Amino acid sequence: MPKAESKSKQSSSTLLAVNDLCMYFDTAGKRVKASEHISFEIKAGETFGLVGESGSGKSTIGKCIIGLNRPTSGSIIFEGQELTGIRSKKEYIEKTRNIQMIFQDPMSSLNPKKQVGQILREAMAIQHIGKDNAERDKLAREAMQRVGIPPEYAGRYPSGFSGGQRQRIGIARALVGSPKLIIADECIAALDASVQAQIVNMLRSIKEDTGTSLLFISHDLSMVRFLSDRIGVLHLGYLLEVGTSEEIFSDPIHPYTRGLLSAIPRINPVVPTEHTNRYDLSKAGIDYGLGVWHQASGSHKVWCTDAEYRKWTGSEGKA
Amino acid sequence: MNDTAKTVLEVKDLKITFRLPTGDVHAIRGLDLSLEENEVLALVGESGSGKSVGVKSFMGILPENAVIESGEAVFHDGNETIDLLKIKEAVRRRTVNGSRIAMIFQDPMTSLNPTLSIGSQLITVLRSHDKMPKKAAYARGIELLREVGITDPERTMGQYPHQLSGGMRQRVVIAIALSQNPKLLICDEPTTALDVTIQERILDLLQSIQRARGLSIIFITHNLGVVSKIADRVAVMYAGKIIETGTVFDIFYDPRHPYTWGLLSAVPELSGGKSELYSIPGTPPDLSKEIVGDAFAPRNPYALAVDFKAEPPLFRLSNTHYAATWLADPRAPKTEMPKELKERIERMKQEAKDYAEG
Repeated sequence: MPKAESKSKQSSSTLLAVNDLCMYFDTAGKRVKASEHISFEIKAGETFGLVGESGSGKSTIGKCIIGLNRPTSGSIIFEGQELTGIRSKKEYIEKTRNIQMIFQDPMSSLNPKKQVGQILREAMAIQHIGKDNAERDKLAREAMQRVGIPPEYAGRYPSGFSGGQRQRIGIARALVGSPKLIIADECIAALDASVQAQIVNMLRSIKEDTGTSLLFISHDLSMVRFLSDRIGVLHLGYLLEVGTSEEIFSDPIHPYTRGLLSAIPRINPVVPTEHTNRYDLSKAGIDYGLGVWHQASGSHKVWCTDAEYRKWTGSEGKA
Repeated sequence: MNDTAKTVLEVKDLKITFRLPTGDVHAIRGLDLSLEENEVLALVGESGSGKSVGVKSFMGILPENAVIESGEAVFHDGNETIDLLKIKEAVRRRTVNGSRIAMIFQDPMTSLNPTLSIGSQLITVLRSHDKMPKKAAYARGIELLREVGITDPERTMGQYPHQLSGGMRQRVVIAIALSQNPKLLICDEPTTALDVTIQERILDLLQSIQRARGLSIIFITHNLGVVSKIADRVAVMYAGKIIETGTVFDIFYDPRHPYTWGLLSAVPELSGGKSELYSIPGTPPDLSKEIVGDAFAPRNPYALAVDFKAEPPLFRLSNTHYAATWLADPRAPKTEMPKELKERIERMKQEAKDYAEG
């Protein structure tokens, strides 16, 4: 897409920018505020990790980006083009062609009645990749090779694969269109620890080989740490802290981030998990609605009030 | 472990096979384990290693196509001994399941009835075993909910499962499991579906209840962090067998089986900085085929020639520590665990030392 590239030249390093995104769901007279004032950006070739508990709005953000949710307000700019406010579905699909998604449960995202080769060819046909079936077949086999599935298995059905292999096929399908951004929503949560490591290693090497950006959504902090260049911490729909992996893990500022990090069980039978940092929103007296972004250092930002920032860091910080 | 400790459960040579249209799958291939009173035993291993199948046989809840080929699982309660594999279904329901052995599962939503309030489910369970008047059952229900850390039990009694969070639901399930004062509690991945912050609280709860009541617990998990927090003893399973067992200190500070080395190495370190996560190469063996030698040998970079021919026995390394690997044989060449793991264990020991010294 040379056209899009020239358009976004002024921000050549920023691939995706989310600004003040709000996503509210109106259900049965009750308004559920799933995302509130979310802002972050993903640079080309970067992996951005989103962590948070269930219900914190991790998936909602991914769905807003790919167009499965229509945001209530705010803007999403991908490759220099505004995605919110697009009315026509066709136009949205056209503009988000370079975004692909990998889901949590590979069984429910692969058609059980189609052979793996067919599934991959279909994805290419929809994206107008390859001039005929023979060429698509060749590309499908290459994609399988790349994710470590023997190409001879193209004729097998999803049920003939293990969970880890199915997830590899899901990744192969996301890769066939050479996307610029892959959204991986809890893509390793359903897998065994050892298989998780294989998939995460593979995602990392794909990212290094192809320069694809990755939005890695997960509740597994240690995996997020391993894979991400930068991390955003979500709680109750608010993005509370953003920084490099190093900044978040060695110098967390928000009490919620601290509580989350200290809750990870340590692999050491003698040393107990610390309880001192246990976070209780009702007792912490923090109103997320009053927060604004405070810059702690280069890329490290915290969402809080001026008073809170002073209390947690002992310094003023730029609002 | 002292000599006066009483054994609660003793499993010997358990073999379970699943009859599938495509052939027999030997899910458990000779399981031996024992559990003392007041002890927490963690069963760890990859999916398909037989962790859940084993404990399901104790509860008599195996799927219909599963056949118990051999073995015994003797449960001791006072002077009474019951073989859990041979007991009659009616007797089991009346005198064992729920009352002396209780089990909690991964997903609390599927253990609770979505159409009944928490109160009516608790009261039903309480009244099912002994004929308690409704009022007394209600009061006991409140007491139990309080014991599992629910701060407003009166309110929770009137609520339905969908109105509770995942952590609260698991607390209710624990309350129901405790209602008959069981001796043995079997927990099958009870925190896997929960967030880390909630997981921490549920583990604390289980630990304090275990200590207060002197419960024995079999805890199935694949999360080694959880194991190191809750367990007294660990049994590592692979391909339907226990391949290493010992105290948490034996397993975490002095692992001997190459599979245990692999499991420990695969845990990502929070300090970060590594370019690649370790993963055990290959996939678990196909249990529908006959396994010659050590089941782990094809994936084992330390495998000896003998591993492909003969199955290693469980070598005794100390009073508490056993490992089924030919590397533990005195004739085997001296083999060290991977360097990275060794350094990591040194760091763990240092951390433990620092902690002990305050």
